[in-house]
Amino acid sequence: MPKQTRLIMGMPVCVSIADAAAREADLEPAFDCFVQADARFSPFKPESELSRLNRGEITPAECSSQMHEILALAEQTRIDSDGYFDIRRPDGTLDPCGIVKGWAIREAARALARRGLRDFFVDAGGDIQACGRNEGGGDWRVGIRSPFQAEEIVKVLVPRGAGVATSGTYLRGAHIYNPHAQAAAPAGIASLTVIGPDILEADRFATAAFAMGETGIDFIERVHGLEGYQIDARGLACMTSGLERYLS
Amino acid sequence: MTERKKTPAAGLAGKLMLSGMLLLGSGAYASWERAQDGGPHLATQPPPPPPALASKSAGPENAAPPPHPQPPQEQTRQAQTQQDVAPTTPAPRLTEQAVPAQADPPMAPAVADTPPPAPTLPQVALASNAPPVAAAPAPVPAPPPPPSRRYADGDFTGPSTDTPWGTVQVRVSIRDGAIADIAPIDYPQHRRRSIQINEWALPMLAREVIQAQSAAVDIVSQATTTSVGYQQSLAAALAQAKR
Repeated sequence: MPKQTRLIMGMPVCVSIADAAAREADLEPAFDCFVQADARFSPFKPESELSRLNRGEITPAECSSQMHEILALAEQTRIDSDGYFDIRRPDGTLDPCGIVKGWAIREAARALARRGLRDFFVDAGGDIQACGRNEGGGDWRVGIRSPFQAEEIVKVLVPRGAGVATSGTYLRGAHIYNPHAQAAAPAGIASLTVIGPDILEADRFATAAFAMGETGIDFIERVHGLEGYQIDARGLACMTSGLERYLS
Repeated sequence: MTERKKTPAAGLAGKLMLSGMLLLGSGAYASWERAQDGGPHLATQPPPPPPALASKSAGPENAAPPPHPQPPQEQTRQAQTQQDVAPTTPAPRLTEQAVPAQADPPMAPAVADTPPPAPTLPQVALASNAPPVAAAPAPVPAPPPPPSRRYADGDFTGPSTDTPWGTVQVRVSIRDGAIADIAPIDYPQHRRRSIQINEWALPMLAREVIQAQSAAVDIVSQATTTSVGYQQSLAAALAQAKR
């Protein structure tokens, strides 16, 4: 079963294909999506399109269609989340990392589907798009890791084609912040896992809702098509009303 | 609310109405719920036209600043640690520059389904991808050895690295010269059992105390491991593994 892990965009990216006829070469288009996304959207690469845009060397009108798509998704997420999600940084630059990862995972999954593959998953830094069935013919099973004990799985999900994204404080550092509270990170919530129609939707709403702190799970509850599992700093979990359908 | 939430989507009108109400802020909260009854489906909404960038294009003077606010202490240690590994890395990310051996195009393939070196610890990406039924990875065809083996086989543990929330430490397992596993072996411990459950503020949603489950899962979802502390520990572990 072709399966590889590579470090791209500063995180482990794992692609696994369970289709019987799959070969190692089938992994490449998926990894290419991440490499290309990194080259285009990295704020840490001076030659990236994003860096050139941030320096004013190119105008938004001169940007690629992919950049337009990312910026549109970011703006939509900002509106959807009442401003909790915002790629605009205080210094005036843009950092769309919170959108690019989910987008790249979705693109990678689409690239695999275009090759006729049906059974695979793409896992980038713990955000997952799984499709079809696993090598044993069963549903892919996704465990939510405890934010407190690295060796513990505290919930098992069966997404059946849905995307699963987890946002958290401990390992994401200051990546997520609440623009309304001027805080480095929301207090009280250790992690928030969101299940959405695909990984892009799950990821952008997980990022936005996590920034809301304890009310993030209420926000997920109210958005149609999303379910969530939120763990607070005390080890108490709160789940949306429809999560049950994803529990084994 | 529970019953009303999941009604079928009604279409674009509802979506637009919801977006507008979201803009109105928390004052429109009640209306928002009613809008949800009409079925706005944010999740499948097509992207809107590109956003206006006026506010952004005003101030790009700064060439390449680290976009994420980081505690000063973090930045200092970041600089020190990454200097050892990759002096040119400008930002708190484990980019290819931070781990030179991984940046080369002929990326060494990871060994598929390599058993974890220590059964008690999970794997980040290759982790528990061996459910009891489907495990049997014995006949897995061994991938061809990478063209150039940059790493020595074995397990390498990075230093325990401080973050604002506690310490982070990772261990890298190298098989056939490639990264087979990256396992976090230390997390910040913030659980405080003394606080009572009835302080919880979301009475309408089901809640539970988290408990360890069976590890028979294919994939593990977790907070993205891109924190400075994680990368420092990982970069140091890979530096140990370098031939």
